[in-house]
Amino acid sequence: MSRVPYAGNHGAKHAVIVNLDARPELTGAVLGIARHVVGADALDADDDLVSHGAGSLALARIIAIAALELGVDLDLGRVSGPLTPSALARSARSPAASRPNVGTA
Amino acid sequence: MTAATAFDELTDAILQLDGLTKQVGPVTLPAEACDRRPDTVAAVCRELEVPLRFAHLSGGAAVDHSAVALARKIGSAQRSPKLTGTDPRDAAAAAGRRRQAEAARLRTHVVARRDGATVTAVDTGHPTAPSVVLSLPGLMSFRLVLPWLARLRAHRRCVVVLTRGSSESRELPTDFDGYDHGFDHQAEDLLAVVDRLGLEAVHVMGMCAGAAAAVAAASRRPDRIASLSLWHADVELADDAARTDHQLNLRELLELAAQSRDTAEWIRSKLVSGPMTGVPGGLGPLVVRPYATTELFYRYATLTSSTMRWDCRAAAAAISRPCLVVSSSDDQLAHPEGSRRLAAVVPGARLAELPSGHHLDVFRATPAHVGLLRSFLDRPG
Repeated sequence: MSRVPYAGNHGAKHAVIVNLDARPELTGAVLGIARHVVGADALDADDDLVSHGAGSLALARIIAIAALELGVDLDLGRVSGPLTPSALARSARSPAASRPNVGTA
Repeated sequence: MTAATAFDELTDAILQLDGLTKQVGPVTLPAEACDRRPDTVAAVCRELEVPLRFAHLSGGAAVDHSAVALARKIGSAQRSPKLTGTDPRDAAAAAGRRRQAEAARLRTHVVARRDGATVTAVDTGHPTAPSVVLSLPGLMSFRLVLPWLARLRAHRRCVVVLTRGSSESRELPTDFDGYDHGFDHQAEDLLAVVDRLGLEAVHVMGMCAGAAAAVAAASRRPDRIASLSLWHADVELADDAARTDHQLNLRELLELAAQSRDTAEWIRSKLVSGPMTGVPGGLGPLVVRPYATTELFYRYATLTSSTMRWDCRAAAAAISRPCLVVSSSDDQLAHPEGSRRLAAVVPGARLAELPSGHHLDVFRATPAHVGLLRSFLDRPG
């Protein structure tokens, strides 16, 4: 499984580094973001984020960073079963169609 | 529990959404919130003039979990077995009496600010009694601190200052955009209320993020602020204190959401697309209020992010008045290290760290909290 370390550069707006055809890469990137937000370096792609203490704020932050940095829209509504980084990656919809429109009034 | 108590609980549950509906108009809640006593809920809503609608929210569209959280207390209250066999008209009459009694205790003041903002303050207790001013986090209702008002008003005049943008009246987005949202203005709002009401030598209670305005007021106007207490403070101390995951996540999301209404709408949609965690039963509808609509969430983000950015260390170090800092060792929302650091920075401050206690206990006015405040007010120096 490809793991892309979270670079922590979420001031950058359009750093699209993966696409939906590269799911392992996307899973790795989401995992990196989740590790950063949850503060758990040992988190694995199939670990349940909720059992690692991720509440609604943490999940929203993971999704926001993914939108800003990866250009993907993770959709909690499409996740059935445990909320894991890999399940979140599988929920990704069209690239950044609805990502934050940062900076527009 | 008697039927009268059940009427009161339903009334209080619906009144929790009074300010919200005054600000945004009718609010739609899940139908399950009135599944047992729809007629009773409707009668009480009519009597209280709280326009709530109930609908099945899962009919194809994604469920808005802020509505689920807003409805929780009403749903629970209308399931009380003590309502069985009661007449909705009796429930409405009881609600009317309860609202009248509340109205007789509370006075509302609207203070116009120079930049066009209006600030609402809710006032109770004898006008000549020593005053306590309560500073709340952004966009919160005065109802959040009703337990404090109930316990203090016999001996104190209590004035709750609501942040700009949270006035309980319709205000267009363009109105909100027309005035300043910076922290300095929010802090001056508190002092403007103190001046407008002619309050002297007040005690200021700064709660959670409302502690920032209390610190600013005490450092700027020691002539008006006799003492202050800071409760489970969530303030900016740069790298001097650890933050909880909740603080880190909230701060980052609000910074983003404050950038535009589009961004706020997107962030909010993600936040409410699943169950909102950490929302307690009783106070839940009040703390969820800023998430109820995109406009409120945008305002909350705008006001709160500017408060969160304000480094309070210099102002705290300049405070010359007695100060009590209260936290609990296991506060999972506002890190107790922030309160410890604050107590170290404010000259002569007294730190009271309870061994346990939920962050939101600060709004519940627990016996421990009330005891701490009373002891401090009796001997602040």
